[in-house]
Amino acid sequence: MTAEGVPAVRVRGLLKAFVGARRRTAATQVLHGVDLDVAPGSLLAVLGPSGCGKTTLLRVIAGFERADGGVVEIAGRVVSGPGTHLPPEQRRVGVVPQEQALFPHLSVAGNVGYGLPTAERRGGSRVAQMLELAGLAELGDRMPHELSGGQQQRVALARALAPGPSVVLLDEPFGGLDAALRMTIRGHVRAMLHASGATAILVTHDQEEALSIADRVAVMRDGAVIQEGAPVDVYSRPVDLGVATFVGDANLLAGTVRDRSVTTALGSLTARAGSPQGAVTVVVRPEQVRVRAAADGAAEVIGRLYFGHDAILTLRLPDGTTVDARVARSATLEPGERADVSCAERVVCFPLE
Amino acid sequence: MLLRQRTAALLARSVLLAVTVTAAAVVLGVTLAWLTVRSRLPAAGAWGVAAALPLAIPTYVAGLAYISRFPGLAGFPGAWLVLTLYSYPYVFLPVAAALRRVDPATEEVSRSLGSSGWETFSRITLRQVRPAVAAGGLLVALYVFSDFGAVSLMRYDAFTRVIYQSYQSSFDRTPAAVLGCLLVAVTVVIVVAEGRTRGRAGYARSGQGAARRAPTADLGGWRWPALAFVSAVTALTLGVPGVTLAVWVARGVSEGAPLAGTAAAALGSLTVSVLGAIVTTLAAVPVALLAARHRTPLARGVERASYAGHALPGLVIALSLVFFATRYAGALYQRVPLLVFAYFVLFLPLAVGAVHASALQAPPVLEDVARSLGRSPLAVLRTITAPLTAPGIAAGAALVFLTCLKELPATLLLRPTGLPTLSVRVWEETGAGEYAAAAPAAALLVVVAAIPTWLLTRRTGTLS
Repeated sequence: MTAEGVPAVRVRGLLKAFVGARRRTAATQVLHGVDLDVAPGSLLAVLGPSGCGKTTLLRVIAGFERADGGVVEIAGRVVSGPGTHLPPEQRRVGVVPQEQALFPHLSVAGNVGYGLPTAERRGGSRVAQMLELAGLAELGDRMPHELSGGQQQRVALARALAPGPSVVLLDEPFGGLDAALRMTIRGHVRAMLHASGATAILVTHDQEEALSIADRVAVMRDGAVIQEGAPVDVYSRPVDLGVATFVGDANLLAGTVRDRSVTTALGSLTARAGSPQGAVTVVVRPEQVRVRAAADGAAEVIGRLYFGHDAILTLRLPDGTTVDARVARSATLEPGERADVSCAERVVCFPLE
Repeated sequence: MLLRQRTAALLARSVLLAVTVTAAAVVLGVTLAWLTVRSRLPAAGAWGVAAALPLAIPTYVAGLAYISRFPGLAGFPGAWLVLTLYSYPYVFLPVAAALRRVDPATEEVSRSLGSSGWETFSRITLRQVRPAVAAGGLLVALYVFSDFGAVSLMRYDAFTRVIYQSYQSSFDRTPAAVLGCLLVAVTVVIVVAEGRTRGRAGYARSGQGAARRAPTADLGGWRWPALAFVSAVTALTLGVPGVTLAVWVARGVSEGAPLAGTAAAALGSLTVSVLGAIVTTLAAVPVALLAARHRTPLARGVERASYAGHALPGLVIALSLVFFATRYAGALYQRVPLLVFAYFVLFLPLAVGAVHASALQAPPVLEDVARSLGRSPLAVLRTITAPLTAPGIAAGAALVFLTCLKELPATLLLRPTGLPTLSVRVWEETGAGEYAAAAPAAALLVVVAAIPTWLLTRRTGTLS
């Protein structure tokens, strides 16, 4: 039987609770039946606010924590299930923790070679190959503390990839890096993962990071996966209001749907297929709002955040509602100027709670 | 009734000594810490090392130096002087570390809110190092109550001296036991008080970003008086014993006094101290590793245990072991195993503290990663945990070794007859007025003990 069609990682109904640190405090249910499939060679981002259980999910998949229920399969093999709990060293799972956790007493090459068979550990071709992949070919003899944050990140990933694991787990891998570095490193990590053909699960609370780097995004909330899909689907077709506001900026407007037409303060908009009828909350992304300067426009610019590449304008509509609009740098207006606003794209509607 | 009055007087004498020494040590320790860390004192780093070194000199060695040179100091003045000069590092070291950690931004904010330099120092800087001052001061108080060397050589009737005399002079050992219990009660009160002083204010740095190094103050015209002050302190703490011991050693050598006694004592010290260090460290490793991994009451206990070690005076431990051995295990009395066991009881907290600190060098996440890379738990222990913690464990063992080497009261009571040690030799010969015979052993102790103290302060200096 080939691995064709078998997910690299398959998670079904995963449960995990932590007993309180003090006796008598109730156990906290952290994972409430997580389901997840990761296709071989793909990068899945698990996106969720802090405390949603995403790090625990990684630790259970890696085997550091024992699941209370449910099944974890890696490359078709059950590693965690009723009566089964393979120790971490038998799972063929690479781990890149948040703090990278390079072995401080080993050189870069020593770190990368740590998971290899004894013969290949020192100066083997695999170590050289991985250092090459990480763009660190010259730095094998350095000690971890002699590296920059970005280099440490790449060493940690090279170390995880070296033994050719079935899946690599990355826990908030860019959390400790400053914004400027983050973009570059994100690119490096994605390139390294693709070049090695590895399957990876990346956990993050940063929606921009998840959408930009991943092939698939799983949104987690309160210990369960709420929505799983391609980044563009999660962003443009969120399953509920929570996901909609979590994965990106959103204007939430009151509206009334009849057939596909929604009446809102922005005028009459077109709802996506399958919208509920009647009173709804309408999600309008700032980049969906069109702004056209007009001296007699109905809306007034009351605020502006200028980002260089573009800007966010805050506009007050005739009925007092305010909306944010993302506009090109060339189209930016000054506060106090008037404009016409509209939205031509299809919008997502959710029934009122 | 008479006994009660005498006990009250004894308690008063001990408390008087503890209070006056603690007050003086706090003033001395804080002043030196500020001068060496936050002022532009010439060669501040070197003075910082010199200020920590008195820790390496046991009080009975210092007592030997002072009583042999200034016999008029005997009694309270001598005990007060020696204890102050050799215990203030317990205040100096934590306060210096705390001063280094003070975020200069908090001081700048205070200045920008309109406070003067002095106001900022008293309202912001001093407040932030207050826990360190309190903890150090209480350590000094504990040290004074449990010290045996200085008070016995200076012939000041504090608890330990009276307990020892009452133990030596009568067959009825009950009074010694009663006084010992009283002494422990006093030290326990101090330890509890230490816990209370910590209060609830947070002293950790809040906010992110690396703290800058604290700026140093220009001393201006005070530069030379400050230099004179630190020189005087160093002359008293290091100069007096150094010169005195050198003079006595030279005199002994020129008079042809045999060094064989010192050599035999060194061998004896080496034997019992190595055994004590091995046994204590081996016992400390599992306790400390467990405590470092799990945030349990045990872990919190371990953190407090370093104080417990100070709270149980060596003399009391030794006495209780003597009682135990003479009643129930006569075969052990004045045998090496019992002495090693005393070291184990006395210094386990010390070893646990050192190993605990080194265990934090190997956080569990490293082991998680190593396991996920396919290595078995045993291989991970061998390739990750052991290499990372071994230096700390070795340092802990060395620390215990040195502490055993300097230990006096337990060694005095429990050592096998015919097994001399350096500390006992210094104490006995000094007591008999044979300073030239005591000096070589004392000099050897100081030299051996000074090296790691110097290394330790240098390391902590560069780390922070």
